[in-house]
Amino acid sequence: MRRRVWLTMQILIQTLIDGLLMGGIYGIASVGLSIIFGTIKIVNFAHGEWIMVGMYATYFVWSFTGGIDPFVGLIITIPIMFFFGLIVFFLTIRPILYGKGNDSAFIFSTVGTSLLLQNLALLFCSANYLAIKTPYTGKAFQLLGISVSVPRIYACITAVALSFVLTLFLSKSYLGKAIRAAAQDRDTATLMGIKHEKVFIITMGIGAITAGVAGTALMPFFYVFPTVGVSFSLISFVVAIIGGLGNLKGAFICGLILGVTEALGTHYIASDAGLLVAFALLIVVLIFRPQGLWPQSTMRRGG
Amino acid sequence: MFITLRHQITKKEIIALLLVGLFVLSLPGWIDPYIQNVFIMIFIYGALGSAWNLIGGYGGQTSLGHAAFFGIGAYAPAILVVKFGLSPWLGLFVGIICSVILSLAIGAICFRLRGHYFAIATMILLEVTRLLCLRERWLTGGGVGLSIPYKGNSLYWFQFDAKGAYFYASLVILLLVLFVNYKVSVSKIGYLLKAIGQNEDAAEVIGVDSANVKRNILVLSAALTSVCGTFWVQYMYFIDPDMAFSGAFSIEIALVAIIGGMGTVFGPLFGALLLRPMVEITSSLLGDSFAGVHLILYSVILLLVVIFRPSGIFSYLSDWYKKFKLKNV
Amino acid sequence: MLLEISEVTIRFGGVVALDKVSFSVEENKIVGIIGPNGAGKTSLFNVIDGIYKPTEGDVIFKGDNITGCKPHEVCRKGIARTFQIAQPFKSMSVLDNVIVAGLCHEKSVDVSSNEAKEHLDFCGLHDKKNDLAGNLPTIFQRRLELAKALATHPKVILLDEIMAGLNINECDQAVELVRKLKNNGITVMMVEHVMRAVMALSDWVIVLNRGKLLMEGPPQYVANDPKVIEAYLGKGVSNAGA
Repeated sequence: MRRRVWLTMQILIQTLIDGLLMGGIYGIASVGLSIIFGTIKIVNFAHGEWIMVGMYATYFVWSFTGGIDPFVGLIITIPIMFFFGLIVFFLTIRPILYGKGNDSAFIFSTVGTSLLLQNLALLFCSANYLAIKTPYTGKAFQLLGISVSVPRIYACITAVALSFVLTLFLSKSYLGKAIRAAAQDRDTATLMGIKHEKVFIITMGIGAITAGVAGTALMPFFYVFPTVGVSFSLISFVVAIIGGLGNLKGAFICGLILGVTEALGTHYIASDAGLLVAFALLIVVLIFRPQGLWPQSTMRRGG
Repeated sequence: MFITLRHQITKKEIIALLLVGLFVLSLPGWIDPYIQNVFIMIFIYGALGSAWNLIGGYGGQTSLGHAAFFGIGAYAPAILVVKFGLSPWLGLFVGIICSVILSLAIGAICFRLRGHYFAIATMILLEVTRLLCLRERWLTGGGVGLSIPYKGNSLYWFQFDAKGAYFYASLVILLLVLFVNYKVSVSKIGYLLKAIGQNEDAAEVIGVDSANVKRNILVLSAALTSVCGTFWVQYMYFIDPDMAFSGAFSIEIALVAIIGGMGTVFGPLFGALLLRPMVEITSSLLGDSFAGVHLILYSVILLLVVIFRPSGIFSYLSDWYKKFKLKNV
Repeated sequence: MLLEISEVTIRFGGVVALDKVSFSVEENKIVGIIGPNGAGKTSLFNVIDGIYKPTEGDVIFKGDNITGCKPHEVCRKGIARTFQIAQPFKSMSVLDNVIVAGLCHEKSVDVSSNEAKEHLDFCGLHDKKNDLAGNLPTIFQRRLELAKALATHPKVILLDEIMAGLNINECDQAVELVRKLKNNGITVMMVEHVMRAVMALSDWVIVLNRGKLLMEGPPQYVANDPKVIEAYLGKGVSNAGA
């Protein structure tokens, strides 16, 4: 009898840990989306594809350097992603900021970028699933009968580390404070001499870097293919909205919550129930508290 | 971004339209079935784009999940024919009703919120519908999809041996959707939508219930999209979740309207005329190993339009035409 | 009493914009609402209009409690409003702007269009009806605001600083227009800084200061009250400007 209780507990804890580890990745993936919304006030519908680009970048860095560890390879991948973010900004966002578009124009532009990236990947990298091999791929260590996947631990640690670095940057550095100021009140920030464009560029770059790191963290135990970004986009939206668009702490915590919910749902209910539960949560939030659990600012009317 | 079509139509224009109309109607008589199929695709994508245009163009609310209504419209007759042996005409109505209910639910949740929430919610709704469709294998056939059995050349089963029948049917659907677009642009709801698009708060203060107006136009859009889905499954004899509930397809529908010209009656049709042939050209030039190349073209054109000509490519034509008319008056 | 404001209070974070304001408005009267900047006059309109929901208190119109009703509901019930900064639908014609307002109680665009032309005539905008609203000079945009408000068939119109920035002639014309409103059976509440107009038009004046109702009464009585003068000009000044 006792043994059965212990077994059930083990399975539960296993599921929770799997969920938390994945949740860390969801968290860092959503942070990028949230920060771009918070500062530039646009939703990046290509966010999942940015993660895909990060994954492909990690793959190619790994294969061209003869198998360098992807986390070490971040030294190369992070600058690549930063420049990628800049290119996307200059080609597809900046012209609209200064042009005659309205809010919807950004939706179309980022959706267009999403479609373009997916199909460029299809064209140049084919639809094949690509994966990398590391010494720890597939390995797990045992702790009290619970199996913890090593790559996932590394992924989660990276996610937490990056979030920590980001938080420090935003609160301590001048640029970071400038970003937060612009997010709160763009006009006043301009009056104080903070240039919009510089802030936007850095924000896009940071968003791209977080997407890239999420991609790198995923590669040791996942695989990349052109449409892998689609589900990550959806997850990032759900997490960022529930957490509160623009709020990084909220995004990360909700990432963890979502990871756990998904793991519990997948294990105890059905293999796709996890996602359905997440979506249901989103609907509930949109009805009762659309500004999210940690709203960026209070507004008189909804949205 | 809205052109009310309250201009006086001249005799010359009527004659020109009649000639074009007669020409189009004669096509199934002399062009080969492959080209007829291209036209059918143009008509259906034009209809889909125009239906999307009701909520996306006139309504100013970007839906990225319209395939949900399309898929419902496709699965309803398929399920009724395959599982229950009922006529697809019944399926047409069931599809419309289900799509309307879904659209009311989405509208109720989202129309109090800013536009990007609606866009995200439609994407998620689409994905949820797709997942549910995959799960409920007993009803929908799951990932394998549903094939409609051949029941012979009959109107009751809406199956025809001659491709021309489908040509005319899709043309009728297109004309129906265009007519609805026209009606909206010159009627009360069109005025209200335009005002909401200009300044929603000011509109509210003069008595416009903007959430209600948006809900109504979404219902219209969803119903018409559903009709297109019903036609599709009858024409293709087959539907599966990847086709019915595809995010890429939703985006294509929106693209047709955006690139052509949102908020205008003929913009989306023009978009379909421009974009559909590209698919045929690229696939015949490059073959199957380059699937998705037309999407690259689409996305580049979309970005160019959004940056340089947000009113859509059709606006070049309509501006030119207006100048042309002024000169020759 | 047509409209009753009862203990209306709004708090935004730490700021109290309105503090237990109570007064009533009789039918077919013109009520002037005056007070220094920041007194809460526009907030009061926003509460009546449904744009803000008060933290406490009620707004009662024709016996109906309309507190917290949405702006479009309030409009349908018969209270219309013009904005201090005019909010026309810029890419639509002047006529179309008024048509939209008329559509709140009318299904047909053509009928609304005919009625709209009458309202435009009433406001002196007849020859501008096909102009683009965004291109109108400010004074005419104000008149357009009024035409839109009239098209909704209101019983009460809230005018928010309709005289601001007008010269003497324009001001007199505007005063005539407001008198015409009263003659047509409409009840008017006007937030105003231009004392000339307040004195000329009001049957009753309400004075707000720092969110509180300072006093109310007939215009001559209020204008000469030292407390009111002090509220506007500070202590130690004994002359009221005009």
